[in-house]
Amino acid sequence: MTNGARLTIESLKKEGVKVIFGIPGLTNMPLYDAFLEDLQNGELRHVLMRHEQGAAHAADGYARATGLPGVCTATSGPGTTNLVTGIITAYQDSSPVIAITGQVVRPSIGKLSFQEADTPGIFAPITKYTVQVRKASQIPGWIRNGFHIATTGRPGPVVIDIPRDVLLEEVGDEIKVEPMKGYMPFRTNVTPEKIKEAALLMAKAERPVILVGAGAVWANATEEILKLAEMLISPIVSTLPGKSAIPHDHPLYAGPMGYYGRAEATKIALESDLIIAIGARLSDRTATSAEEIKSNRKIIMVNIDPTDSEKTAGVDLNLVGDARGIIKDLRESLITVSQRLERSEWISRLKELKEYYSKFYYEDERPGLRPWKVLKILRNTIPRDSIVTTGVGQHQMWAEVFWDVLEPRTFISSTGMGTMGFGLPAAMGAKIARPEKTVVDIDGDGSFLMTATNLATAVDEGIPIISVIMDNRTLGLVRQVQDLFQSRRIVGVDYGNSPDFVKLAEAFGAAGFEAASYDELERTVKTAMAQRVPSVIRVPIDRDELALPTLPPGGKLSQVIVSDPRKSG
Amino acid sequence: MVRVVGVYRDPGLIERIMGTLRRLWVDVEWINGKIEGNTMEIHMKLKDSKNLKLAILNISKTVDVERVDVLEETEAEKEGNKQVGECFSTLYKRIATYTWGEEVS
Repeated sequence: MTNGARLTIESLKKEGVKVIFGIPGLTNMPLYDAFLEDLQNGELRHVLMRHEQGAAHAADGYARATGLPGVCTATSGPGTTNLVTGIITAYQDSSPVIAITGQVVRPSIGKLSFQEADTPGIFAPITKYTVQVRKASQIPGWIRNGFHIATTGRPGPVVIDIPRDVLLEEVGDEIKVEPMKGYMPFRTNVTPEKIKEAALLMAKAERPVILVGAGAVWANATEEILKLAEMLISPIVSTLPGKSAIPHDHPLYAGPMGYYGRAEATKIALESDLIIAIGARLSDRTATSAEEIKSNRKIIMVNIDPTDSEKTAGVDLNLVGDARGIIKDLRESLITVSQRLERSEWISRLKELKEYYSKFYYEDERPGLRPWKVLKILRNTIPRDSIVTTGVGQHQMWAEVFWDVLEPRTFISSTGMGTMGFGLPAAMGAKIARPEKTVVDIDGDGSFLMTATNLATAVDEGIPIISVIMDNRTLGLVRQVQDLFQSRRIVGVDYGNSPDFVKLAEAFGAAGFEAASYDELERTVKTAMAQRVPSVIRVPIDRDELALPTLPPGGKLSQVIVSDPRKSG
Repeated sequence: MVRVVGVYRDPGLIERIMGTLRRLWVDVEWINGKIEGNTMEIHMKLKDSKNLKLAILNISKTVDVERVDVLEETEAEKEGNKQVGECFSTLYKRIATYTWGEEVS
């Protein structure tokens, strides 16, 4: 005989789970009792987070760094509702997070019991699937199916809600896991004819652009995309999450396009006559106006989810399936339908745009530390394969424009949901997944403080991440919009002097550093890497710094603003 | 008119289908459903809107939903007789089926 809790742990181990991020409470406590021996013998690791939101973000960071599901757990009621922000963050960015939530005992469900929350009702709209398990014998099946759902097709989070008495229910050891009805991964619609049609469109195009999104990261399609771009002689642009798929030192990469993207990337996309969108859904952050993006050009969409083309007006050819396989087919087909392509003018235009806009970006005359240079120093100081996470705010936009990703899966950010507080716990998850790599959380003062309590966990658990806080004592991105587009009516955004980030770090037992110059930044980053302890480096940034390029609210991509409008007005 | 066929585990299936419509601001004119074994069939008339197609596609890719049929009203058929009473029932013709986000017939 065994019980539901033990079955849960055994089932998780069968799925290859090594780490669980979480916080125990009354209803998920049987799980903890069940995995005590697994912790003692090193088969499992539990990371005791300081807030459940951090547990979900850490599981998400783990998933994004590895491509494997990240697992978190929380108790019923407030523990579970604290997961909400982390789970919807994973949902928006298609990250396979599995949350095992405790629930009140079966007779108490629906009775407004102590620490009861309607977990299926709350999570169903923000997960790929949520299930409330009614009998212990169902547990192995739902764990298996939960992982299958989370990792196939378009990845996404799954919540498995288990009442306490189900976890304690005794059952026999031999439980047969039946295949699940009602779910299957998306089917491909790709045929040789469609591949040929796409190849002809690509061969005929004079100014093709490849747009790479998060789907390319999940499909591990980097190599195929680069080969396609080289064969097609096509510039590559990306979405913000798509940054993580393309090494930025590749000469054909123009950068991320969109709301806060690089102007040359946006411009080259707008000048193209064909966009090949690979794993990119052309969201309102990437293409702010459907009319603008579809006018005067063809669009080929390569996407695992057939419905993404429906959300994007003007897709001429929709290739549904795994990006890596489709691109390989496209390359082979291109060989047969086209002669050697000649696009030297188009590539010259890319170089011209890069040169033109670079003079707006790298201004270094004003006093104080410039964000672009801070990121350049950081990039030159940490190893090429380091993983970087971000919070959300101006620093994230600076990272979008100025952070050079050099290897796939090394840039992790909350891009769909824009969740402040993501950076630190996601970095912890990534570091546990990839302990051999340097992991740096590029954060802002506002964003960092939203989940900073998890620094205590980093210290207790020995997770040596480095948080570089670009501290401008304001909610900079909101301030910027007020400043530029709301008649400079700055309200509700500026912080006072609290806290002292160095002392805060030290209070947690982490190393705290002040880096008031570029030299100090380089030195402190090197020290932090050498000490191998959780570290916080405060970098003061002027409150008036802007995240540029930007668009006016509701603006089109062609309205991109690249220089400080306050100087001209 | 839409028919959704799915695996019934609990009323959460209905909740998720309705949630998909709510999020896309698609209104329902009428709805009924039945469960046989663990299969649920929901019939509903949806008001036309610019999001209707996307709502149908999204429902079709909801876990536990096996397919969504789009039906069109064809004619009314008389049933019964004068002795027991007569009634007219509307006949529908299937014009499209969606499953996992794509049209399959």
